[in-house]
This record gives sequence, C-alpha cells and structure tokens, in this order.
Amino acid sequence: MNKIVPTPQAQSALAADNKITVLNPVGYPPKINKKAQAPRPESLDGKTIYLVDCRFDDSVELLKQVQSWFGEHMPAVKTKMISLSNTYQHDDPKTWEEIKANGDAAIVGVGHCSTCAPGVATHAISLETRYGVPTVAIHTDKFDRVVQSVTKMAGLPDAPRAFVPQPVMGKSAAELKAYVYGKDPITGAPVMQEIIAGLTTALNG
Amino acid sequence: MSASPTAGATTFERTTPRLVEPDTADNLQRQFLENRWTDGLPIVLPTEQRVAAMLAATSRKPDEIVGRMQATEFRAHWEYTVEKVAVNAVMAGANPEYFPVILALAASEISARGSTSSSSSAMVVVNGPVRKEIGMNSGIGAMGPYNHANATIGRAYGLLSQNLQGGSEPGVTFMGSQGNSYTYNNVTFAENEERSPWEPLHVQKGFKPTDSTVSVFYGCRSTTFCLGLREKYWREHVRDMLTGIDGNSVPCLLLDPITAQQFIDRGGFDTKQKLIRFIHEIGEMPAGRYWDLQLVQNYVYPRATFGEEPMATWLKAKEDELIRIFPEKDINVVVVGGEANGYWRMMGAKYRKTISVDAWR
Repeated sequence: MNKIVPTPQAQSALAADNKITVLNPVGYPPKINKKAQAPRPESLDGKTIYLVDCRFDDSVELLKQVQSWFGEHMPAVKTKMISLSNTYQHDDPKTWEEIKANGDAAIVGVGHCSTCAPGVATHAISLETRYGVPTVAIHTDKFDRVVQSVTKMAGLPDAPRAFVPQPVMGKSAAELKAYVYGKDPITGAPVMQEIIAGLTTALNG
Repeated sequence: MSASPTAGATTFERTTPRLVEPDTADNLQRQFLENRWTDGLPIVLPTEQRVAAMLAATSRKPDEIVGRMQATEFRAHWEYTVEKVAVNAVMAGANPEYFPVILALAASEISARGSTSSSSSAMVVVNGPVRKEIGMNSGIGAMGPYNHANATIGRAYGLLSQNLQGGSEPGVTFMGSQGNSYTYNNVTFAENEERSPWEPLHVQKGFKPTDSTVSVFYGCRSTTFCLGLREKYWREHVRDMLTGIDGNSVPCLLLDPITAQQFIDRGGFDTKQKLIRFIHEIGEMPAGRYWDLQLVQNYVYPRATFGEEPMATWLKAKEDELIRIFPEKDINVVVVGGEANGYWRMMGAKYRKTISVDAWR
C-alpha cells in the first residue's frame, strides 16, 4: 500500500475564508500567424473546379451530389473528382500541385469526424494559402465549433466553408442530394450558394 | 502526420498567467471545474508549496520545456514546461515520488485526451525498478482503482493532457461521440514482471531490465476477454476473440500470469515473440469481409492504395481468400494480474512509444 504524502498547506487551505494562491494548469499557446486568401475569379464559367474527396466514410458520395448540382445548374463549370493519395491524415503536395496546375478552384470534403474535420479545414487552407487556389471546405454541422477553432489557430479564421447535416455515412443518394440542394444548418443559407460565394467572393469583399 | 498548421517551426507565447487570482479553496475548486481544468472530480489545489514539493522530485529545472501536445492531428500544438506538468500532477493527487513517471508521460507528447470521435483511451504500462520504488500494483486489481500510484499517475496523465494541449471541451476540442470511462486514469498499471514467464515489455522495446520506463498504448475501444485456454478448442477460441478487435486496431494481450503459463503449456510459446507470431497467424478474415469494414475503408484502404505494405498485398487477395489482418510487428503482450484466476483479455490498442523514466528523475 502506498504511503499517502500529506500535501503542504493542506490544513490552511481547508480554512474556508482564507484566500490562497494557486498555479494555472494551462499550457502555452502557439503564436497565430495571419494568412491571406487566394485571389477569386469573378465568375466560375469555363473554370475547372476540383472536388477533393478526403476518403473518410462516404465523403465521395456527397461530393458526387455537388458534382451533379454543377452539371444541372452551372453546366459551364467543369468539375473533376479526385481523392487524396492517402488518408486525410497526410498532407498531399502531389494532389495540391495537380490542382494548382490544372484547376481554378477546389472544394474539399467532407469534414465529419474529430480529426477529418480539422484535416479538411487544414487541407483547404493549405490549397488557399500555399498554392493560391480558391477553396471551400464542406463539413457536417456537428463540427462547426471544431472548424472555427482550427481555422482561427491556422490564421484564416473565416476560411470559406459550408455545412451539411450530420451524418453523411450510410445515407442514400437521395438524402445526400437533399443535403447539397438544401440549406446549411448553421447559417440557414443554401449550401451551394455558400459554396459559389466562397469561391468567387473575397472575405473582405 | 506533417500537415498541422502549427507543427514544426511554431513559436509559442507565454501568455498563460502563472498564477490564478487568489480566492478561497471552495471558490477555486469551482473555478477549476467551470474552466474545464479538471476531469469533473475534485482536485488537490496546486498551491505554490505543493507544486514546489512536486518539483523537488526531479533534477529538471521548472522552466525546462517538456514537449508539445495537440488534441488530434491538424489541431494546434501547445507547449509546456516541467512546472506546468507539476501543477497538473498536484491536481491529480500524486505523490512527488511519482513525478518522474508523470514527466515521462508528458514527454511522450501523446495526448490522453485525444479528440477522436471513436472515443479512444490511452493505456499506460510501467516497467522496471520504479514500479517497486513507488509501490505500483501489478497484481490483484492492478487495472482498477486500488493503488494510489496507479490511480493518480493515470489521472495526472489525463489532466496534464487536457490542460497542456489547450483544452478538452466537448464540441470544440473533444469530439468523442460516446466518451470512454477508461480515460479517468488511462488504464495505468505496472507489468507483473516477477510472475511473468517472459521478458518484460520494456526489454522487448530495447531497454535494459534495470531501466525504468513507461509505455503508452492508444485505442482501448474494443475489449474481449476469456477464462483460460481449454484443451480442445483453445486456438479457435483465441481466433474468435480476435474478430472482436476493431479493424483499425491491433490486439494487445493482457494476460494474468496463470494464462501466460497456459499459453506455454498449450502452445509451447516460451517467448512472447512466439505467442505474437501465433496471434498474427490465427488472426485471419476473408479479404472481402475485411475491406468492407468502415474503419478499414477509412484508414487502411487509402494506405493500401498508396502502396503501403502489407496492406497493398492484401488488396490483391480474392474476395474469399483469408488474409492475416494484424501485422506481427504491431501485436503486443503484457502480463498483469494477481493469479486470482486465469482471466485474460485482449485490448484493441496500438503501441505508440516507450519513454525512459530515469531521464526525468
């Protein structure tokens, strides 16, 4: 059996009216370096948008509905579906270079788990700030505050994003279409309207 | 895992105040709770004297940087010093003599408050002379709340993780959908080296028997258990247990000394390595069924398509072909328990790191 060491000041600390001084248990935060958004095109007509599947759960199924929406409503926009080379846990410079070389904008999705939402947000900010590609991230609404925290610490607090309902996993094509054609549960704005605005409007514009 | 915006050449700001505004003990307890600086249970208030007593248990300087921690990949790293670790050790109720073990855990830079929607927990195995020096339990009830060192070292690991990584707040910095009660003390125990028929874990990881170490595993979502090994179908029973380990994890066998001996008697596994090979060989599943697991689709399939072995080879298997789903190098065996009976379990937990405790004395 361990000998329990009496903690110094134990008695005085128990005195109800005594004010005592204690140490703060919290660590030291990183310095935040502000980042700048990539320039936006005025219109997406004739432009190529990469749809980047983060390969978590059924992300690609939701992105297929985004692709359908463009085909139906903005046929002048070319879309190209692409998957990350590996899991979302890895940076993917080869993919980012391809998008920079052959695309005009990107949509990354879906951030719908504890690590893939930060991952999708980070990949979108990388494309935006390191490769100069206008990018919108798609997440599910459950991760709204997670994404806020990540984009703030990454130096681009208002990084363009849109939310769809949780869950995406296991939903039918019709249900996912309703997500994409419907409204963002966080802002109340139409999801695709937010995505188009995010790709064409500067944050301070 | 290189993509975090705050990894690498990040600088850290000393903006966190060293002290909390003086107040009564009751008010401070409330404040710590409201600030989410605790695990929901009362803490020992970290007065300057108590923290000084903790710091006296290491030769390291209070302002020495111990490491950086993040809630999960792509989240910001936060930095911490020896004094910050001491504050959290006091809060957990730890004795100063436990402090080198707690510092070693902090130095692992592995968060015990990882934000995984799967609700993981860390598991901590202590090896070497320090187990006896601080009176840790490796026998009856070792994985339960019956020993002060086991209980408070594990609790300190959780508290320091949440406070030194910049928080663990549900909905913001913690997204474990169901949560995991193992995280109250992170399954912290000592290996029963004296009653084990095999070499201890830290020796398998390259340390000397006389070294004191702490090893961190991560996962602890899936657990299967059994009593002993029956003569006729023991192999099949082990295989059945392995199907209960989630597809993105690997088995860590936690064997009471009675069962460790039974594995030698039944299978002739006179080294841990022989037992590990057996587990690797018997842990099979038809390829089609394996690849259809959601966790495998999310985390293993992309690695296979990226060419990582052995997954890339598994991808070539026919739908009904059996593949060995747990790489031999990832399987572990730890002996723990007091021989009250031959119960044993498999924890779905990945080995992450072994840290020297002696380096933090």
